[in-house]
Amino acid sequence: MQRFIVTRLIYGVFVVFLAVTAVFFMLRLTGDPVLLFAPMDTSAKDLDEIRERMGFNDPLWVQYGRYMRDALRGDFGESTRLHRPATAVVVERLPATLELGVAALGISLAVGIPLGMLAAVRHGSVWDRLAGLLAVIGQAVPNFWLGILLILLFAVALKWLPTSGRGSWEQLIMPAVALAAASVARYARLTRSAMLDVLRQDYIRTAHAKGLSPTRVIWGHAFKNASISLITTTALEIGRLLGGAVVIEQMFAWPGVGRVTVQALLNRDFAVVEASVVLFAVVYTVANLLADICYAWVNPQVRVS
Amino acid sequence: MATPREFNGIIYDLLTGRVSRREFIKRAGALGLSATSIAAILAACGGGEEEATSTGSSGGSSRGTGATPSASPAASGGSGATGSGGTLDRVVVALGADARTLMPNTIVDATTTWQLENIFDPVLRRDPDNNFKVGPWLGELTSIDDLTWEIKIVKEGIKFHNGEPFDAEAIKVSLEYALDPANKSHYLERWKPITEITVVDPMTVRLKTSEPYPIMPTRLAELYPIPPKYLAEKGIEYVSQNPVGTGPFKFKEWVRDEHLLLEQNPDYWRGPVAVKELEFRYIPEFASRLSALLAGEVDIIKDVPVDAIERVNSSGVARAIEIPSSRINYVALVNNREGSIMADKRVRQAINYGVNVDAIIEGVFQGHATRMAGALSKINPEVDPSIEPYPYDPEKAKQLLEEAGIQPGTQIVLDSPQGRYPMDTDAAQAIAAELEQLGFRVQVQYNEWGTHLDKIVNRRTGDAFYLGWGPALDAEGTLRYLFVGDSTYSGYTNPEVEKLIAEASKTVNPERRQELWNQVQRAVWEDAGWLFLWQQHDIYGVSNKVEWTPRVDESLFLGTVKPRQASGPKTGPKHG
Amino acid sequence: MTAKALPRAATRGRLTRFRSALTRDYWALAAVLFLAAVVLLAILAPLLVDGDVNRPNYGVRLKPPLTAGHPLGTDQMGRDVLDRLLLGSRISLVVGFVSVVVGGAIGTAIGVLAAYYGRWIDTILMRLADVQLSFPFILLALVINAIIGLGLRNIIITLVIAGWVEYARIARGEILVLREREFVEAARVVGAGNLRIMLRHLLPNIATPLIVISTLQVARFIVAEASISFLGFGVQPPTPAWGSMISEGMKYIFNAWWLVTLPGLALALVALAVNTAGDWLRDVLDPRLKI
Repeated sequence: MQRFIVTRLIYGVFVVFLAVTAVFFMLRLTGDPVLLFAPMDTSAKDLDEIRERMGFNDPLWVQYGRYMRDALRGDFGESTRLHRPATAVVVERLPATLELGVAALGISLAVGIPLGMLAAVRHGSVWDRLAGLLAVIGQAVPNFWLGILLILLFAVALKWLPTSGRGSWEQLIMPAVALAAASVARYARLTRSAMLDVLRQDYIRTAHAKGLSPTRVIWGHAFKNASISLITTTALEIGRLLGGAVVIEQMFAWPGVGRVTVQALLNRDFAVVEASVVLFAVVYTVANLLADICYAWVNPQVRVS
Repeated sequence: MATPREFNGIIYDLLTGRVSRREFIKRAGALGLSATSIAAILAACGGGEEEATSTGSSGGSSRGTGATPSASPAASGGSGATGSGGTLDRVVVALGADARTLMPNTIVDATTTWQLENIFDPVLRRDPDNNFKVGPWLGELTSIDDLTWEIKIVKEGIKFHNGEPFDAEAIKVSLEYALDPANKSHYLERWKPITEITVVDPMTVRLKTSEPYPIMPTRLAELYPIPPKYLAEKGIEYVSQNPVGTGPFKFKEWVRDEHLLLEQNPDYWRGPVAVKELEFRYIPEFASRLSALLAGEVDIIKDVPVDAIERVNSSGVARAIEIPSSRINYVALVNNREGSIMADKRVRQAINYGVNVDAIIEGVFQGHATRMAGALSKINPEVDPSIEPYPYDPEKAKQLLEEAGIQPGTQIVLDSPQGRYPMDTDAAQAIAAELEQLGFRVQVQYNEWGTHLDKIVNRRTGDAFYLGWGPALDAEGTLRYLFVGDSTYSGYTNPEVEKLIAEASKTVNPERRQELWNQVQRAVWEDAGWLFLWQQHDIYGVSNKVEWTPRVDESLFLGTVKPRQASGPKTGPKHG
Repeated sequence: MTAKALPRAATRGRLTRFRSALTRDYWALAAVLFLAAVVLLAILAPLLVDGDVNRPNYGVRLKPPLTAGHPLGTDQMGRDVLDRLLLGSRISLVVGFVSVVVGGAIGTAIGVLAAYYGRWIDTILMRLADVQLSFPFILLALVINAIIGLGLRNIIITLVIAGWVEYARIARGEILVLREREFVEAARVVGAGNLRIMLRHLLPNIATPLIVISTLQVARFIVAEASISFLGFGVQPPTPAWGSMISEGMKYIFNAWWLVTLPGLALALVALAVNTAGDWLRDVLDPRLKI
């Protein structure tokens, strides 16, 4: 088990490294960063002076070498837009994104799984249909569109909830729901098929035959086995939620990493985009690692391969 | 009730020449008229009453009853409901983006400046009562000779929020801060001509420049003094997050990407303002911003689309207030690049004759834009008022095109940004449709903002590009940067014009300088350097509990905010 | 994931089975019919709209639905919303299908190659996939769009680049299991080359999960176009893509609800139908597929 974790960790570091490298070069293809922060009356000569001063005139590989050297020391450069360390810019917004992500994940699990269970247990019934429809709608609606509809209904028309921002728990509700919609759908879908799979197995029939109550069979036996595949998905799901948050944070004025990354991207604030890619990659890698560990723990023969 | 201090204020204003005689009489008249309005007017010391009136009328198209701001504070005070001191507990302004830093004189960014100018005072300030010319504020500027300027502080006893006195040293330190390359100030390039900063006495600073620098007043209108001792003690990083200025509001709290909280400065040197607490809240998405206004969560938002004006006015919680902005929009007809068909003056003129700008203003903006005759807008203090817009004359346009040998069906490419200015994509399409009427085949190329800038700077645009420019309130800031061939964002070149511009930007004598600028304006008009379009109108959504007059320079100085009549219980923002 | 080697004969029997499965399932039937109608409308759209749908007509701007001559109203430039929705269906379908087909082809090829050859090829290709998965889809799409600019073609390129991974992972997983099966061995014994084995023997056997995942991807990409438009990239105006219609309409949400709701509804309905059809396909082809 220890070796397994160490291998995966080394592997994770490698993935993060490659991600940063890829983004470093891709960002430099987007255009001249200086134009987006220098005032528009700056002369061509002064623009070039700024480029020189900030090292944008050096060959790409020199810039890359410098970046990597500093990054290994934990210095991810300075935001050209905000004049502060990129790491600080990204890290101080992480709690907001995590708060949103955890709330959305919670909603997805709390709604998606029971929905999928219901559909599987009542396979072919109206419930199955309804759950299926709900799941499909969740995936068919753009989350920002859902977001604006929620705002119009609950904030402007009914005045039950504040329109946007962060601070109180009421402000968390709409963005979390809008973000969770697609995820609820995926969980419901997955739970349903995993449960259907398990319910057909012999040992479930045996359990039924032994006279165990249906609830015990479903939750105690069937769900426990079906949950293995849910664990692996959760890692992927975390990645997807982080992606969805990019849009939702913009819509609901949520001060998170996604919003600052989009701003940084539009302003060619390379250091901030890079820092947030590192952050995303680390979160993703850690989530995957945890999923792998859980999986290996539940399912010992995986460890060998 | 007017306090003696406030009376002193207005008299002081008169003595320092900040208000005209007529203005003083007008205010004094108001003083005698009603006691409640005195407080309101004096609290609004920043001026703007006259401007409010003109907004109402020149905005013209009073759509919906609420669209016209009440002309004078006396009108709103009349109900007597503001008896309880005439203050507002809290005003919330929703902005699309955060301040980038709270250190002034560092980052050139409109949103940042809008917020900072409520904490800091500039050395000079554009005066809405005087045609938006640069006038005195913390200081007064005199030109000693072509290379020497003197700033005199207008009043003794001005203090920073931490009690540190504001003096000549503060101006000097602020300039030195911007000039130090280590601070990476965007203003560095603008201050470069300064060679010497001397503190003559605590009230006087002298600036020497390496060359005549007539744009000095404009530059000083964006210099916000910082307290030298505080800066030395706490260091730049701390001060960037805990600003201390001389302005009407004191810093309270800043949560990045969430909000900036300010509170009234009771010792403000111009008398305390009428707002106890001011919050800037950051809501990037427009639809969410408008939702927040309609839900009563915020009091002021910017850039209400023309089609939402009626919705805002009929909401019962807010109204739209409109003001012609100093920001101008134009289409550059690129002649400083090889292979552009715009190299031919006749083609450029034909486009100015053949595009029905008034129809576009009516169609796309529903009249909420003001046509420009030449390169400067009517409200630019240095505009040449004798210039008239090109008349709409498609026949003449076609004739000119024929003379220039342009075949019908000739393709032109128009580059436009997308989502940068109000209705920009719609406007570009409308312009294209007009050009097609002239026989061109037009391809509009929409660019993400960064790409648009890249293209202009590297001269990789099509034959024409759409751009906004502002706040444009002096001639040099527009003409020198947009009509000189090798200027960064210029799409136009003409050696004679360039010679005139070079001379004007070194001429300190105001009359001579104005004459040269007039010549430049007439030359680029005659040469049809642009397709001259319009001044944007800034449309603000303003809560009904707030009385506020926007400024043409997009400034969000909120020292002039006052309560409006209290009709019914005030519903403060629920959250925060 | 389970893979079933379907016998490659019995095509006719399968068709009948499809038909009977479809007539039993009203939802699926409705979805398939709806999609067929949309595709038909998309094909015929240029004939159905009159004149240039992009030409501004300010005289009739922002008319609500059920206005004479404009059954679904007009937008801020006086353009007919129904016409634009019709033409927009072409864009959305093209974005959805082309990026799925191209991305699917590339992803499948990569997945098959990685699994079939294993070793360093597998390592490199799959690390690449992991790197890509480690940052959010939408962010990757934005970076690519920032490099190559706005436009329909560029949106498709973006989605292809962002979307191949899913296929590669699934194809690889399936092939890893199949590779060891006896029919592959048998093919090799009779002298079939690598290419032939991959194309003729392996690929048909992993078609089911790939088809099912494709239906989901089509819906996802149609929605993704909207998200990308919302964040300031997207197709060139005045191209009437549904996603850009929604994000443009956001400015008018308080006075012209139809501008944002109608394209949103159109988009949601198509995505809904594609998903429903996909679910049904999964149930018929392989109910145990966990997708």
